[in-house]
Amino acid sequence: MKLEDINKTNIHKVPDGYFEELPQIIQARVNHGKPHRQRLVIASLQYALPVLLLLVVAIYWVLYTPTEPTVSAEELLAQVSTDELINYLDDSDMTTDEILANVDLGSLDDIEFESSDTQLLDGIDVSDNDLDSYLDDFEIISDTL
Amino acid sequence: MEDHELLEKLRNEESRNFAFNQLVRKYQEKIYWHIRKMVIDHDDADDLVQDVFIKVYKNIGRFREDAQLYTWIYRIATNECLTFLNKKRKRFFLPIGDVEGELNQKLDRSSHIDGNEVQLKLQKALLKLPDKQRMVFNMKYFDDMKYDDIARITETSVGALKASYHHAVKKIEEILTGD
Repeated sequence: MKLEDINKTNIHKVPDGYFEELPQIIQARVNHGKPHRQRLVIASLQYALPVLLLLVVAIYWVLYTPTEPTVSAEELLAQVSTDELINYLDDSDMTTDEILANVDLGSLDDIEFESSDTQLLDGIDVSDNDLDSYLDDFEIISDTL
Repeated sequence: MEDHELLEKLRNEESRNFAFNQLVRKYQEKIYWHIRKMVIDHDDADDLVQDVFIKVYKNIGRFREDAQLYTWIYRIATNECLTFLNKKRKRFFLPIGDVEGELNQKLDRSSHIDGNEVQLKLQKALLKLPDKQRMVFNMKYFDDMKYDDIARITETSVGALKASYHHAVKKIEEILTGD
């Protein structure tokens, strides 16, 4: 088929009165701003933007806010049993001096020991004479006991 | 009103609105159909023709008169059309065929289309051409414009335009014969 065989008709149509109204529509846009279709788009964007911002903030808050409460070192230490602590100290290479260097001796007065003097000694099978002899050897004055 | 008179009145603040109204009435149909043949849809063409004349109004101070007024307006319309179609393609994120598909549908469904089967086939065949080649074809075949004028509007050489038009005709006839 050749192009010259086809009738050169414009098959596109316009609504009635379109070209009569178009100059006024354009003039109104020049004088006042954006046309109706663009105004609708901008108006909808004005409502959508705050909602989008809120959504972004909400997502950030959910993803990046820490949910687990922080635990102090003392609370963590309190969860460890005394036996576990003693075993750890026995297995470690720390000397008594090194351990005591980290202890506030002033606070020891407030601590009540679980065992009294007599309870500590009750478990030891030593006669009074032998005990005195040991004390003399270590030059410990008996009055201090 | 002649173009040089229109320009003189457009540059005068007191007569600008009147002159602009006259300019729109003088060129609105040519510019509208130039755009409409490319974008097919009336509403899209309506938006674009308004945008073209708004740009003419805003930029009339920059018009250097080294070209004719109607050539300058046509050039703005051509750029607006091609930019519009490029944006459509990018929005689709798909190959060129999908914009062609959309424009084909507009030809089939629009209430503002009235042609026989062969004329509709011709329009659909035209949609298979690259945008710029289709535009050159429209200006030569439907508007019967001179190659010199088309060259000034598209800023392409006359030789390149003749080659483009010749290839477009050949391709369209192949498509129409194949159907």
